[in-house]
Amino acid sequence: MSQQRLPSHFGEYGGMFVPETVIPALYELEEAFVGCLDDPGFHAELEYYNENYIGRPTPLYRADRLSDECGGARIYLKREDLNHTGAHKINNALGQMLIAKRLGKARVIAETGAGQHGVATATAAALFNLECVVYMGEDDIARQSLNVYRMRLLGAEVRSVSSGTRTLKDAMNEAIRDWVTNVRTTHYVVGSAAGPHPYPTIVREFQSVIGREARRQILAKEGRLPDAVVACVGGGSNSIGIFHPFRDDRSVKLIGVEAAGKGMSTGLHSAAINAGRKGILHGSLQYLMTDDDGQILATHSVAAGLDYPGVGPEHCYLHDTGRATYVTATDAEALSAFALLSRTEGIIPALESAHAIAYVTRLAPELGRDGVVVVNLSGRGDKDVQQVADLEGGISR
Amino acid sequence: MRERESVSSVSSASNVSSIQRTIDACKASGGKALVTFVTGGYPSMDFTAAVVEKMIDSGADVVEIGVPFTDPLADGPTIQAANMAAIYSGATVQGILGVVGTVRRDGYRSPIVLLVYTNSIYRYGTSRFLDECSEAGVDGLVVPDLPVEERAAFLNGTLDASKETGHVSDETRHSSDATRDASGPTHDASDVDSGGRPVLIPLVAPTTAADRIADIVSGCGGFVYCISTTGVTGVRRVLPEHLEELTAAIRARTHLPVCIGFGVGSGEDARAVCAHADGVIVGSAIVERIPRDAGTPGTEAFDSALSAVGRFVASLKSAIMRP
Repeated sequence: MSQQRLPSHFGEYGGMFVPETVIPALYELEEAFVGCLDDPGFHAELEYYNENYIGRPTPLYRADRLSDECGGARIYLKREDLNHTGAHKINNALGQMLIAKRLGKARVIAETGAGQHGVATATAAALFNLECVVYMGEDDIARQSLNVYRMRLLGAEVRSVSSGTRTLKDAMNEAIRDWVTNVRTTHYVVGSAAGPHPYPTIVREFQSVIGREARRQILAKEGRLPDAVVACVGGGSNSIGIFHPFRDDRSVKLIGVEAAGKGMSTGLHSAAINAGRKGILHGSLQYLMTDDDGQILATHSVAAGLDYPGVGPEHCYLHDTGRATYVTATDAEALSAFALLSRTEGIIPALESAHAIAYVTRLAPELGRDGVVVVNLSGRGDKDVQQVADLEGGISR
Repeated sequence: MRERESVSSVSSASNVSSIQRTIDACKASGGKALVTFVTGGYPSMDFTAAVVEKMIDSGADVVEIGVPFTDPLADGPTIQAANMAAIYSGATVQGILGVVGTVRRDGYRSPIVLLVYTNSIYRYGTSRFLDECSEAGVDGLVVPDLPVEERAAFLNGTLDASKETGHVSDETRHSSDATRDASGPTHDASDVDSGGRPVLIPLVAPTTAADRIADIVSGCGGFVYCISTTGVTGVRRVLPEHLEELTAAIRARTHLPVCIGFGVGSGEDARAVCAHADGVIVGSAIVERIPRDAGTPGTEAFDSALSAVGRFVASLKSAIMRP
């Protein structure tokens, strides 16, 4: 049997629960990934694009007005919103594009919720001249039309998915089916820390640049480690990226913020860990919004990028072992935080990232004035302005 | 042949499943086996019970019933739609097991297999699911998203939603570590086929390397489900050309019968595919013949859908029996 080179599970979570047809491709991918990690040429190429194309390193910005407003700890924002394409997604898309090139694939596919990962994949595909198809749920296309147009401008084909709940999980189903069908010619660029092994590990590896930089930066600015690192959690890519380099710093609390949507008691949310059930979806055993008959539940969040019924397996493990804590923020709290950050710091956050900001407004006063918090500002909110305006009665208001 | 016997030592004569015996009997009488698939609960449980019996009466040797799942990764639009309609009509795992029980009580002894995704089994409780399958009279399981790497932990019950205590081991591990304990040639098939529990039917794909096949079939039974194309379920215009090579690679490594599925839309397709196999699996082409309004017993739609399926199944069987 093929030998796995890297651990495929995090405790009991993770695995490769996918059709046999793509199992060989997963091993091929794992092999190529390990080859990349061992190759100084790969690291040099990635570094080049990080610096000259994405715009890394991103600043770690001390948000004084926000901190004053919250009346507690000093809040630092890790500015992933300043990356080319406006979110952290490009870190992973670019890295995986280099792997696709190495594998000799001429075509890439991706799933996307809010559209940021679709845009990032289309961007990297344009850069490296690969054919690109992005699957997006019909309902998501409607609420993030700016991103759809961007993808098309970048040369990608956007395919609308009208099956199931017409959102991210259904887009991921279609992407997996496409991959099963076109596995020999196509690399599937998974956008989050979910999916079958080796994807959660690959995505973590490429997103860890966030945490590595943030750790260096906070030590330089404060002379010490932060009390907490906070990030929003949908599939879990920006959060695992900022958490991972702090994992051995036991004094640093790692806090993930899931989307409570309309409120946990309504069932209209996407807080898989907080909901507490487990199951298998998209190749991985994870905390999952599922019923006892094994059906996957419909989820809700005002933030399309958090609207996913599962969560990356490594987060499940971090939760169970107590290394990380997972809290929630509702749509209302996120919308409030969206407005707050805009007003106090002149930064419009993505609605996803606003969930992390929302929690920090509760945490900062608890930590007190001597506390230090690092928050991952995973993306900018230009894509959300229309939706927020609509929720508040329209742009002309 | 000695070599084949040692590789599949898990299937000693006394452990040969009813599925395998049925297919071997078709072979022995000079023909091929027909495995027919319907989505359970589509468009109603009543229809499923009736159509299973109809298919057997019309010549199906083995019947496969799909347990509806909201996110069937290995399925194309036809079966996806049937799944969603079945769920919407209230299909449950218990309902499907109930149908199998009914068919058995009506006197049908033909092998029945469930096509079920891992989450359905996991949420039900793996042990409970396997036990209730035995009680109902399910002979085998096809689990499209359970590769050999994950099999041992999953089927041995270390993964089980009913044990949701939050307890977890400290180490990250390779799933192949667990599987390595379980899948050597001396492994006892009892983990997947003990005390009447359904056998696990192994899946081999066109992308499967020859040296992986032995591991895949080890500890399994019934037949080898050979997926004809890289892709999901759904009737295809053109069937692939490499089937002879793939089935030869499988036969070199097991004496389980080989059945080919995915894409078979007609008697001609079935016959072509049976040139290389012991049997053929037909799914979407049958489901396509079942309209959504056929759910209520006693109605014209119900009876007419049953007849359409019956006629189609009979034509498939006669196509593969022709010399």
